[in-house]
Amino acid sequence: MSERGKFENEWRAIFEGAEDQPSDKVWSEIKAEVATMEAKKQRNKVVYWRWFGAAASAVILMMVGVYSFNSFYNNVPIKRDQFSLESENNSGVKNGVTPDSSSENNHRVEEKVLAIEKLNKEPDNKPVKQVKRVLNNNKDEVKTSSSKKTKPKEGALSESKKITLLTTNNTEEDNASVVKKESMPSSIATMHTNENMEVDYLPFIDSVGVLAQLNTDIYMQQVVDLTELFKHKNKKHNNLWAGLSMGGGSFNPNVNGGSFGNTVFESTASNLSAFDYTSKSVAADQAVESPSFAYNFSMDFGKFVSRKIIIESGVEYAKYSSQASSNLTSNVNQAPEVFLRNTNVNSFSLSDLQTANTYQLLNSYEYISIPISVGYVLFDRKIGMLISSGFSSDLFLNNTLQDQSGQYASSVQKNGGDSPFRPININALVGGEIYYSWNQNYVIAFDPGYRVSLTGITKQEANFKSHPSSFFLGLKFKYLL
Amino acid sequence: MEIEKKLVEQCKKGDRKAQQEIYSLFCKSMYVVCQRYSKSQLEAEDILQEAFIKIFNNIKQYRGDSTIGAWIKRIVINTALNSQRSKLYMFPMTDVEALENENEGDFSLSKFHFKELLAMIQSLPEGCRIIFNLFAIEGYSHKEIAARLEISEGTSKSQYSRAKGLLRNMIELEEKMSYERAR
Repeated sequence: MSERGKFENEWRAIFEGAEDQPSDKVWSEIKAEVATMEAKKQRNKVVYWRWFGAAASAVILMMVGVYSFNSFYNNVPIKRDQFSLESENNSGVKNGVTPDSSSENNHRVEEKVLAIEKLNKEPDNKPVKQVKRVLNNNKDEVKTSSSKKTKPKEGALSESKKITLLTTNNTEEDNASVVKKESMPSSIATMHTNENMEVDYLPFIDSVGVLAQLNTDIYMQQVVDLTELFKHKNKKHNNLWAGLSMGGGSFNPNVNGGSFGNTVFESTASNLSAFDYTSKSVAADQAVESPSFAYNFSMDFGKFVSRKIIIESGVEYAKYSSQASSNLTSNVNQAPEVFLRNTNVNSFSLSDLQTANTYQLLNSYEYISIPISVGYVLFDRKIGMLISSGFSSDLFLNNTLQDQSGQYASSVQKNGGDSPFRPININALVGGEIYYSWNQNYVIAFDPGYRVSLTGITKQEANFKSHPSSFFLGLKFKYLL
Repeated sequence: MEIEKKLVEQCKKGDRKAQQEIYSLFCKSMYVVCQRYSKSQLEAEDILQEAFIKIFNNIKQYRGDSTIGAWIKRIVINTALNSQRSKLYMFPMTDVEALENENEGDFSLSKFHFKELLAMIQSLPEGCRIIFNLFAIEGYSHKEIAARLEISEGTSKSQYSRAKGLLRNMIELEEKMSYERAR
């Protein structure tokens, strides 16, 4: 088959500049679909940030968990006079018995020590390990030693009942490097005893070849007790606390619905008849508001009214924003200002408006809130969780419309007679906290929360209605008084 | 060109008015393209609508490597091909050799209005209509068409040959009828 010839060139030439007008409905459907897609993209962004927030908090919680685990595992120093014996080094310095050891136990141990020393003196025998047995919960600590030199005890013993093993010889640094916990049978390392259980471990330890050959001090590290994280705290639940928090999230102005819809003007507004549809006809479909960001800072205080119930309040500054597009500007002042809808309750003239190219704007609200909520503690350990709900009185500060391209002047609506916004609106709050507490006094918490305006933020006489809702993820620091 | 660039920039910011202007600028020519690939005006409008939605949703990806007109046309053709893709499996095969070596010496379409020719193209079977458009009007080679439609080069040639034969017959018939009418 030959390539292009006269036939093809003729066809191509005929259709090169050919034009035909499609029906008008094609554009209207394109416009509607593109607007829907943009709103969807905006929603997806918000959803993305929510997921990001949730994932970030999960990661932070994991990091806190890992850090806590490591603290317990590695960083908690072994209090040698509590958990282990002082080493008996080659120079013959020997450990003592704690002052609160019972004399009965001392006698028993002394007998064993004498037996060990006797064995050690015999040339054919390998050095014999010393055994320390710690009965923690009754502060009954028994140490074996060839001397009876005592050391003052520095603190209370751990609740856990563990056996710590110790052998003689070498410095403790050497021992730490030589002896690996992993080299021990776990049954030995984590052996727990009943309170009054008395076991002679010497024969057992002697049978462990590894220990016998090392001929060195063995400091068994304190075995991590993960239950520490979830242990009941012995805190006083009538504690007051004060805290600081900050959070971020999304804000949905919820102007859809009601008589307002998504149009610039209320359909029943008396001045709508004066509206010049020929020059401003596209105004009505340009005012779709989509959710955007929100953030807050607050000072909080609260009180445990019972072991499970808390009440909390505070003062909070919050800024909420939504995004919209408009093709109108207001010419009331010298420079054209951003215009989204009529926000002047008492006087408004359509002649003050001018059509413009569609522009994107940021619609921001600033509030001071006074929340009060009741929380129920689901569990209260080092890591705890509570759920809460309550109300908040939001004091309106201002509403700012800002052209994102910077082309038009911002429009600021403050609290006052002409403002369509309520000076105070009431919100319902639901939320929760996942917290981590340490040192009896400090708590760090992640508190996701959802709030919705019950009264709406607009006055009765305003020509549009808005019942915003917002979702927050906050970080809270509390100090228990 | 400068106006087009400015409009594109405004479209990238989501300016609805600029979108409308871009649409007004290109919708007429693109509508003809859509009609060439479809069987009816209704189908052509659907393709046009779908293509412009894609254009506005993806306009941020336009980097100015080609003219905006060429970029838009590419999307319109791709949309048209996608909408016809299912029909491409039903290509009937014809003998390539039978229609070769035609004498094109006195061939001319100057007597026809493009809408008459458009009607002829629309009356072609699905497969050969698409290949005729791609080869004769868009200027793709059979190799490119074969790669694009995932068919063999031979199939592309067969289909084009078939389309060409059918169109020739239609043109001859139309010429005969006009001659009869003139008498």
